[in-house]
Amino acid sequence: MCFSVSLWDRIHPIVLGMPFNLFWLTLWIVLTPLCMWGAYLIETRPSHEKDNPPT
Amino acid sequence: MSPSATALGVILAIVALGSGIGFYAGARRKMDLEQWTVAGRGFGVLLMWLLMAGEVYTTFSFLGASGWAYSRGAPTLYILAYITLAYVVSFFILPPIWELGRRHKLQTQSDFFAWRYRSKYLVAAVSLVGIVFMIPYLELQITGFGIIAEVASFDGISRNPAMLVAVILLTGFVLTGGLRAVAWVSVLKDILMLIAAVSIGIGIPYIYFGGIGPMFTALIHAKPSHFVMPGATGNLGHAWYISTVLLTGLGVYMWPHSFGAAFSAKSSGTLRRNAVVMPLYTLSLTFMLFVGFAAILVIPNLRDGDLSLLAMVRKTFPPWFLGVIGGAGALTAMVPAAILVLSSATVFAKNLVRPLFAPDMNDHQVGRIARIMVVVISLISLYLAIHGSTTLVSLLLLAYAGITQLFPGVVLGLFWKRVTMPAVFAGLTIGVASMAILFLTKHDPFLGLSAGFLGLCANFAIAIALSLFSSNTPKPLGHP
Repeated sequence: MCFSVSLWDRIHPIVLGMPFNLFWLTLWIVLTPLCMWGAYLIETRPSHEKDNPPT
Repeated sequence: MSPSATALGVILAIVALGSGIGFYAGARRKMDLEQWTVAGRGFGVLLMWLLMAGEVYTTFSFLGASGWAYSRGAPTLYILAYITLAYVVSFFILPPIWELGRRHKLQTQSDFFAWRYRSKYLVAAVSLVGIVFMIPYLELQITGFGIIAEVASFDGISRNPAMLVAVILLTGFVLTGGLRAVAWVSVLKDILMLIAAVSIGIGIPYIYFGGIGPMFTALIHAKPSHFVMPGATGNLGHAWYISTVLLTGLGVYMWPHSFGAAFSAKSSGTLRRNAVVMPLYTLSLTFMLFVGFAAILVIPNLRDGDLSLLAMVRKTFPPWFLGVIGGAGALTAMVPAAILVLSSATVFAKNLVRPLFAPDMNDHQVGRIARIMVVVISLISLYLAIHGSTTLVSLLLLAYAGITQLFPGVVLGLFWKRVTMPAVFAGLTIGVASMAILFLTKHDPFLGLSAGFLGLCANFAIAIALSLFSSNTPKPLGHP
């Protein structure tokens, strides 16, 4: 993913008034929590009590 | 009242309110070493979120990001990427670290190294790296405070006395409150910072250009090369961007204080949920960048790009509002600085002095040395801030080039059974040495890549190679 910099490091097209590179990174700030939420659901599904094991 | 008196008055009121919250939060509890450093391991999602936001969003994001947007252009975008990446990293490494901390009563990063590698010399080396590279980070916060006082007083107060005041406030705050104080002041700090980011980030483009779109259209027309890498710099291109994002993104949770913050969480689930929501906070940085970009056309020829955000606010808004923004900025300098001082002083006393020189010291004595070190470390950073002359972002990059060298030791220690102590020690030494040589001979970036990243590659390669070649029997790991 990170090696795609030369593809998105550009001014045009301008999206939401921002140069494309700025828009692209801002977009990923929003998308990352969604992906992480997915990861969280997968990680916690098998056993809920894994978070607080009996001591 | 003169404009500068109004602005400074508001800033002082905000700082006083913040300190008041801190003192109150700290004063209600009895402070033993565990309470002072990890707040009794009882932070839920909310306090954790506040603490971590308090740590990551420093005066660097407030002044430094817009400063680079103004003076360097597109390379400043690395900031949006690395903070987001850091949370992804934290999702995977913090929960196992927390689990180990709970089982083995670990309080600091050095405790982790001590437990995993069983060598007091490695622990001493790790602690030393942590403390040394924390100093530029702390210097950054103190410089930020100086800039705020300078701009808000309409250049009536020079930077150095302001930085001295900041250091006095800071040490007083840390010595009385400990970690819990810091987390609660973050509440005020974060609210103010969000208000500041959104109001000036949207307000300033509208006032001068009639909107964000028109602003960028005008900017791109005036300075097209500023908005793609390498921007206004000759050598910060795509390779630099990639290597720097990786270096700093992996490094965020290598800070002794961020790493240690994991131990204050109530459960590992808290840390995971935190990692999911935290990236959204980074949106506020996009707004900060808008202000830095706007300043390019509105106030060209500033002598120091780091002044751009506050200078724009001063030019655009009434003095009381400059005071609010300045106060928010002052807290974003003080809260992280307090955390930095607190953790480096604790590491010094607990993981450097005690194991090497005085193994029979009790917790009470460790606490006393830590408190003395709070003062010493603050004074060193103040000295460097007075004599330093680099941009805020450059200070941060230097700090990260050093601290990320701890990453191989942490991640291999967590997930790879075969890794050995001498291999990690050798990797750390070579990594720090190579980045230090490149920085001191002014070869950063080297071949287009960030010097710290090259050090990190050498570090990883050596740690892995030496571990594979050593004949030690693997030690069973004690975590799931």
